[in-house]
Amino acid sequence: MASSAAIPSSRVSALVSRLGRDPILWISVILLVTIIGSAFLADWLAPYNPIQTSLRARSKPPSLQFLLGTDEQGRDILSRILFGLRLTLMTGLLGLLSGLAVGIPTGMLAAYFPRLDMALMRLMDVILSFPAILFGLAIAGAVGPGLTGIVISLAVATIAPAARITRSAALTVVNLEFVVGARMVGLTNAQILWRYVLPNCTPALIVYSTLRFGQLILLGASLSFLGLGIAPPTPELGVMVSQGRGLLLTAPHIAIIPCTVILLLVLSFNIVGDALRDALDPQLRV
Amino acid sequence: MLELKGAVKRYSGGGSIFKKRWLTALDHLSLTVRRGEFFSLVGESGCGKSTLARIVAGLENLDDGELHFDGRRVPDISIFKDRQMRRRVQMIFQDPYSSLNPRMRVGDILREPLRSFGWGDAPAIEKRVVELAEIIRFPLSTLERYPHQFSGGQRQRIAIARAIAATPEVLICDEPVSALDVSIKGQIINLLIDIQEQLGVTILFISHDLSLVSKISDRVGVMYLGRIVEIGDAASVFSDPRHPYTRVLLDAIPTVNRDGRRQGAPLAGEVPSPFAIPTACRFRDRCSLAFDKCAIEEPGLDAVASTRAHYAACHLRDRAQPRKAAADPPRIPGVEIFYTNTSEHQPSNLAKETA
Repeated sequence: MASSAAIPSSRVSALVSRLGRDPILWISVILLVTIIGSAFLADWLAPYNPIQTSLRARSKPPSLQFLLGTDEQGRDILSRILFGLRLTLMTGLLGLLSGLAVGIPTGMLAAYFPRLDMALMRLMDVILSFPAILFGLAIAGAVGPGLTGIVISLAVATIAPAARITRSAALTVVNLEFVVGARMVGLTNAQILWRYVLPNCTPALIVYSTLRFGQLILLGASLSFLGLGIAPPTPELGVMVSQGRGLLLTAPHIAIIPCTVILLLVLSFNIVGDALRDALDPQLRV
Repeated sequence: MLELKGAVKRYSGGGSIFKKRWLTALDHLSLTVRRGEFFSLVGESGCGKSTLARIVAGLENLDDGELHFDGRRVPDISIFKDRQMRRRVQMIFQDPYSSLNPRMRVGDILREPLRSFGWGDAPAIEKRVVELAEIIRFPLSTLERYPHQFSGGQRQRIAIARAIAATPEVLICDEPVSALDVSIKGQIINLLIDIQEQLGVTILFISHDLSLVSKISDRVGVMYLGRIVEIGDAASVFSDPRHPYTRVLLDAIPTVNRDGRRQGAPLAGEVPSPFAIPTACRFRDRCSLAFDKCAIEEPGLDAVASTRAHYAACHLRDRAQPRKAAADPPRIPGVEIFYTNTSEHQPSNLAKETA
């Protein structure tokens, strides 16, 4: 990857040395790798069929037979978590990427063409003024509940903050002399934005995307919890929490286990994102 | 080669939306730079030097007046969208730390103008990159590195190589050595002089360093508040300044004199605000020679009597300006460096590093 190669090696080594000093960061990295890895290998790792019900094994607590217990319809929770994670991560990633695909160009255009700045950023403010959950409700109402609606909601929730982050990073870049130098060399605006401005915004964007990914997972799970996303019996973390909600007193593990997985996943993304921010983009530290 | 006629450039500087305040960066400035010469422009900070550079480089439009390039009028900068036109004027910037894209290898930085200006096919471009590396004395292995791996002087050499890559006709240098150490300055200046001799490129050199300018220029223009106040052959302007402002600038050069005292009084007052340029003679507030006429009639930039190529915008231009140091040109420690290390240039540490 050309852009990561250009990150001064001192930053990379700072990240590595920080990894050695910070046990929580270590744990987060290991957790992330484990969670993402096992989600990808769900087909091989899952001990049971995630949608196979069993009337005799309903709402069983964790045991040797069912490591994380079963839900009210006797489905293995571990298997459902593994497949649910895969779906959650995929929707989060799709939402993030499509949001960035719109937000990054918007932010760069706003920074590079001062005339567009006002209009574009006020438009972003309008989008930002809707709570993401509300937007999700509206989109689910328009396209119907399902994967598409969730991805669109996550993308919309990403566009405005991504545009802002990109704009602020690009604003410092476009005023540097090498951008004027690129104009002197006769490059077109598109070439300058793509080859000069964007690569110099990547540290901020990498940091932002990592932090944002955790938030999107939470948002996606929330939408599913509200019944706007993936419909049962397809395993999805938010759906599982929603199904376990009614049994919190009698079989608390049904809701608590997916909740814990979401918590660990989001927390890990935040901790790793913070570490990346400190290493790659110290100016962003608040 | 380059000609400005009555050039005006204003920037809006706040004020209310009903009555904007305008900052006059260039005020009916006229200037001619001849083909192949080393023309220097000097003046204090904020006098419009860099604005002039940006105008001439085709980065900004004039508000009024005309820019002529090689005898042809430049109606507005959109003609620089034509890359063959753009190729002819190139620029070197002041800060070598921000003028190179930190995400591009040096080789790619040099290939960029060659590709953009259609230098030729890939082998031709590579051949030219090797030539450029030779001109700036960079071992070929260093072309794979990124700009942050080089010092300021080395970066400025990369910037020079990029600017001359596609053989421009005019090279605008906006304070190219102000950010560098004295010893590195010498290397960069010598490199520019060599390049000019070899390519015959016209150089517009912008600086506030008069001692440096006096050593290297063919002609020099002195700018004050958006206008040229004195212009002529460097030898003539520096040995016999006819505008009081030039004289004060020359007197302000730190010198090492036998008695250790400054000659002449330092310049009184501050540069007037470019939001409100004084009427008539713009220098009269600070001029020790000002008299009634200076407040009434603006002096034109007219030829000094008994000279052929020396113009000054002062009513007293034909009266020799008293300047004790005139007989003994200013001696500045460090300036000799420009001459002492011409031969060895700078193959120094870069070669060692890679060896």
